[in-house]
Amino acid sequence: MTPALAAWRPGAGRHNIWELIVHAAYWKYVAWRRLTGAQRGSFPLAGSNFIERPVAPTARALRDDLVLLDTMHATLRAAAVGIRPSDLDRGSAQRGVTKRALLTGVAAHDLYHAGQIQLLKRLARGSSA
Amino acid sequence: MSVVGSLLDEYKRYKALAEAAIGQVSDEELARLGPGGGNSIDILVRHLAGNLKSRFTDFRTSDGEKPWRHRDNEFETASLTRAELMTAWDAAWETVIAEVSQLTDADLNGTVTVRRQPLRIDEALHRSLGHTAYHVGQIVYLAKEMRGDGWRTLSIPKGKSEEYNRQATRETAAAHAEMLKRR
Repeated sequence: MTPALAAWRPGAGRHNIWELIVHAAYWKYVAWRRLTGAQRGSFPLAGSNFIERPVAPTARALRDDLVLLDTMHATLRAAAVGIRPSDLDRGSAQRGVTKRALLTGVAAHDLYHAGQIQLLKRLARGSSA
Repeated sequence: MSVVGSLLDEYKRYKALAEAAIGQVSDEELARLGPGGGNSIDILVRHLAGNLKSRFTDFRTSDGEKPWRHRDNEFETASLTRAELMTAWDAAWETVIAEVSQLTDADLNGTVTVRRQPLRIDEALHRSLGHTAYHVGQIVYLAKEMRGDGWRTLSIPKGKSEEYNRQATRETAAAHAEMLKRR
């Protein structure tokens, strides 16, 4: 994945792969926070949900955001592994949502955007064909 | 909430997301191929319908890849009307919801087969939900691309995250699906 491909948009205002990467990292962070009850404000980037990318279209900047995604994934996964099975059906910090439902939801959310990333790779190739 | 219940709610969420996107595109846009011959929305819908119908028909007692399914055909262009397409979609989803609704968490350690390979039922369900979410994400992205500024958002509107967080009303998958159906 080159920075140029990650930053490519099919049209003005459409999300690029890079933004989907950061969006997935952000929601892993939110899921972790809701799972653990941690306070808001510790996501390393300013903003929420969809955060505009790239700031700098460089390989280093892309790598930094991929590291962020990996870090958020590992943090969420560690929290999930630490839940006792008997606690999965207890509430999370997200009102009305059990820890089990939260984890099922964030996993499906990841796949939803993974499908879009694959689609964007194909759209980008098609646009330059 | 049971494991089965959480999976069923997520299935319904992604069904509702796809339908809310499909409802925003014209018949011509449904069949429009992506750049470079990429899949159209109707191809993705036929693929998901074919996959789900095959996997969940006689879910516990027969192989998930049925002899009557022709997967490769799902990726070829076909001149189905919207009504024909949605009839296949609805039939597939009726099968999914009926079969998954019959399960309890006690069933999840049982085994099903897909292409003669054994899978625990919980693994089969998670894999299927992941596959469904993957292609629904593509359907939504393509539909949004076609609608442009006229797109009616299916989640939190741009720039409204903080406002939504203060008064979240569709936090559960079931509530999100209901909101999408009422639009």
